[in-house]
Amino acid sequence: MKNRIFSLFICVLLLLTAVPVFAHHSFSSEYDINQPVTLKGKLTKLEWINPHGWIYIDVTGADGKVVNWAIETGSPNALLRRGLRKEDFPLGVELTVKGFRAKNGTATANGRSITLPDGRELFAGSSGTGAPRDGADPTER
Amino acid sequence: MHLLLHFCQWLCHTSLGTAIRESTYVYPIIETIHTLATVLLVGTVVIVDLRLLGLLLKREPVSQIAGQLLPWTWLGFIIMLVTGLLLFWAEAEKMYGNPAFRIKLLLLLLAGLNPLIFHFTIYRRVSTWELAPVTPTRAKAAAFLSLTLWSGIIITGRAIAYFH
Amino acid sequence: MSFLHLFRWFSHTWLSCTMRDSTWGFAIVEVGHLLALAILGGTILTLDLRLLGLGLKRQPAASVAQAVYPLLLGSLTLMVVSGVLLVATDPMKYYESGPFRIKILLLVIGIVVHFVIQIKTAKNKTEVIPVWTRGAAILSLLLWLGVGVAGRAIGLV
Repeated sequence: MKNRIFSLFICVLLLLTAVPVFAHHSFSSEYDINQPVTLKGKLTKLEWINPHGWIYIDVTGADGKVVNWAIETGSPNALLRRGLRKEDFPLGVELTVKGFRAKNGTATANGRSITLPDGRELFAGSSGTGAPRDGADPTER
Repeated sequence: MHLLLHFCQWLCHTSLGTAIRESTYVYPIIETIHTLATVLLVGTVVIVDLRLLGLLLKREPVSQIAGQLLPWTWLGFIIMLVTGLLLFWAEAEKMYGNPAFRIKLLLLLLAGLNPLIFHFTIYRRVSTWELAPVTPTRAKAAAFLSLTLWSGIIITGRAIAYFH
Repeated sequence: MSFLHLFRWFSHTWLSCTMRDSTWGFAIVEVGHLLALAILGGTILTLDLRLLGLGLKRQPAASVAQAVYPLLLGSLTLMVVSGVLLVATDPMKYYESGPFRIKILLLVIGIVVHFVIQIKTAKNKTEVIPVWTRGAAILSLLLWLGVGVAGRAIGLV
């Protein structure tokens, strides 16, 4: 009986080590729906990758300082379904990104939509991460 | 370990790693197979562990249950290993620094050691206890540990996506 | 009441609001869903393989069916409960999700098919597995594989 209690104790301890790794991801744990942001800037880096893409843009603040923002997008598959192509993102292209700021206060956001120089505003596939939907994205399922 | 980091950086930037990482369909397919093959690997392990704990098929010899199910476990393991390696290949640099991934690897190591130890100790005498009404404590402990470790592996595996 | 009305109503419940606002809620429930999946998959696989003459061949099919039944019921219950909680985080998103609709359709059919063979097999006192049961076992495996793939697809599209 003592053996059983001991092994149960060890098992619970082992399981608990896994619990702290959960504080992130899923939209609500990482991004703040109450902090929508609109970012305008030039593309400095593109990561067209799985499982989530990232675009980096230099945004000039009201104070004249340039901050490089990292914006999370959906996977290549998710972006393609929403009409975005890798070719839409040459370095230096001027983009407007709407999204939600990260809860940790860094220059990071979950991208909701991206407006390209030709005026097209396309969704960034962020709904896959549990981002809020407002019905604006017709491909959101 | 700097050497390990450099290896991971080199690995994910090979053409195979890059191709998988930037793919439209290949990555999601590999990842789906990896997630679903968990059922084959862990599902069969669960049945064997529950037999060891005396919770199902109590009247059936342990060696028969284990012997007939473990080939399927191995099949599941091979699928998990191959898909896991390909996923790692594509994201090696990120995985290097990912705490959930590191813990998962550690748990996988322990999950491999556990049955190994079990097999070379108490299981060697399985014919003496496999039909006993109560399984030896050490066998039960191995089963309990197995269930816990595999649960932890599933949990940490899922948590990988939660760290950038 | 249509499904649309049902899901809309659900999105206004206390449960849905709590799950939606929770930081850890989705993550924790999803992990429960995955753990229960491993168990559910294990029980379905064990029985279906046995009916195809694979896996636990040396045990009477009826014994295998009887042995896994509590596990099948328990894990399926956990899957459904955790599934409902996951849907609660954003009912309309799931309502509109193509993969989700396919998943639920396959799930319902899969439950019916699998429970028919589960119950018939548990009562089968002979060593003979009828041909229709074998066919049903293959169908069951395919349906449940479909449930799994559709479920994963929800988050991918």
